[in-house]
Amino acid sequence: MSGTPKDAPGANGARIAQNPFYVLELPSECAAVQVERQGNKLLAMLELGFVEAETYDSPLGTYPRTAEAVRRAMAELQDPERRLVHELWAAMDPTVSMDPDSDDPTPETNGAAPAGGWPEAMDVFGWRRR
Amino acid sequence: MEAPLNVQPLLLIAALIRLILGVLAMSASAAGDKAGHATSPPQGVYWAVLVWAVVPICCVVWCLGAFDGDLSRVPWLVAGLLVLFPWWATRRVFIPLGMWRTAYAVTRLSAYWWRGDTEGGATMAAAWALLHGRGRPNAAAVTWILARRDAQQPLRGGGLLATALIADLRDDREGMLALTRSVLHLAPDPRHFGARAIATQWLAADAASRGDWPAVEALTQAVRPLNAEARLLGFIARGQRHGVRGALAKGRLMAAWLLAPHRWQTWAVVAQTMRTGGANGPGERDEAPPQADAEPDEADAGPAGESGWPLGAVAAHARLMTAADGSLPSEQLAELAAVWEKALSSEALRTFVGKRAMATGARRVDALAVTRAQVVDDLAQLLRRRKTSVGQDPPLLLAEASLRVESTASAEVEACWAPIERRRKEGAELCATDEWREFVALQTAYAAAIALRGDAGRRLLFDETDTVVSHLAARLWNDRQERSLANAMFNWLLPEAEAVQDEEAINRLRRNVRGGL
Repeated sequence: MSGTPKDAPGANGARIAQNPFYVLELPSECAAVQVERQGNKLLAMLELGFVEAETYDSPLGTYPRTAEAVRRAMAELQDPERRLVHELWAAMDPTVSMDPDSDDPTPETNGAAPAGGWPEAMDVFGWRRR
Repeated sequence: MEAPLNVQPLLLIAALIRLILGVLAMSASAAGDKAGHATSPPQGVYWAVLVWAVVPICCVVWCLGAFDGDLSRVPWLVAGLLVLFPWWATRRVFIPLGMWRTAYAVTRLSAYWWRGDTEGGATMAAAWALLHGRGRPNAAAVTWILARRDAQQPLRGGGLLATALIADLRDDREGMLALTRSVLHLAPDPRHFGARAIATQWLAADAASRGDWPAVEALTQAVRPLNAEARLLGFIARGQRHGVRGALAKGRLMAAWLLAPHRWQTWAVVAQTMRTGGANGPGERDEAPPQADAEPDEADAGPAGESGWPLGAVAAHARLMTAADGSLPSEQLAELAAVWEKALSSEALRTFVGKRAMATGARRVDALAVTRAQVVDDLAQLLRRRKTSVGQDPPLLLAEASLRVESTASAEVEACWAPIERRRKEGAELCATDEWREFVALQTAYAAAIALRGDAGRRLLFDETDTVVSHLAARLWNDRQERSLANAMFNWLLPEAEAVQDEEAINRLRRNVRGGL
């Protein structure tokens, strides 16, 4: 499902988008040793600049993955209590996106108002030209 | 033979002198506000009429002279057109070019559009031009504009819009929008027509860019008079929502398009509105809100498949948390809360969590209780962000979230009272713009609290809000002659008093509102 990575998720949906299981690309029933192994592997890939390690999929879209996010995810899953809560929130398949931005590209509108509105209105009648 | 006397330059000079005298007279008229009585309508319109009686004839003569090959008439013609159409020239030429000094100077001639508030309008034009300038914001120019704004007494819509534009220059978009919205609280008096029309145009453009056509329509129907840009946006919004049916409706839309600027850039939208407006409801984001249980099979609150995870509840949760901003019907939140309640109380999920707790060694904390608290957190966040009130008999989870948000909202209103009251007791004061910003913050917090708590919250918060705002407005009126701001505050309080049926407050506020500007 990989697409253009979005900015780091804000408060809206962060609980799902930043779920450690999605960050580490692990199933929620994985063993603790797998968490350690996968985390170290991703850290090494990020260190070496592997492009495929730089993003991860979540049900809310594709997000950038940093070494800090990987370490945080590993720490979260190493705590059994917190891991169990994350298991409940990782119920959705990360490869099936609910992200409205990941649908088909916006059709050509030839300057007319697209279904979501008229983004150029601010340029034309707003206070600032972007 | 004597050379014929060239009277046209003399006429223009006379008109200019008259206009300057008119501007000065208007300042005196504004100073007359301080006398303590409602003032007569601004006189700028009379001087504008005078200029229009003289300068067009000169312009025709210069134009004919220029066509005859006398190019010495061209500068006079340009000057004459500037005197006739100062705001048009500022808006179309000097602001887009970022010429903030020229924009300021020429807008001061705008005795009609900015009547009674030429200094405010000029400050706003300078700030707007600065926003269009290239490169980094000019700090010296910002300081100059703010000094001009602070020197204005009374502060009116132009000064408030200038402050809003400076806020945007400093990347404070929320502050920009809040201040722009606040201009619409000013009384629909000729002194505020220019600022209110510009504020409406900007807010309508902002809503149109988000596809919030109902907001564009409501805004352009509520404010009068509108400028050509806002009027066109209003017609487009109506067309987008209800369609453009009949020759009359099409003619009106076409007329609005012809009268508005940027016809080349707006034609595609106007054509699309006439062709498909209302048929597919473009931009009617709020008519197709996300459904908490859009997929009934998946949204089944019970365990999904072998895992026992609350898949349906999580999916519904994700859908609402990430839906586009805008109002959210309380029914959808209630549905989500009900789905979660069913999931979290399901025996199968409890069994599953128990097994997983044994397998992972998570025995100290009840994972379901933690998840429940997180769900309440998120529901509270949704309530707060969407300014949604819960309906009658909400599910328990939603009631908990609502209680939390309501007490926070009330605390925020109380936090806004405190500094205003403290200053009153200490006899301290801020500049008029900052006093207004504090009022806007209080008004925003109050509106958010009322949106959450309804009439019960209004009855709880009105008394103290009335006391605080009335004291502030009275000080602005009596001690500082900031009549526009004070009148706007009384105007805002009056419908609130009527809503709680506080007769004493209604009578007092009506008297104060009648005091005028």
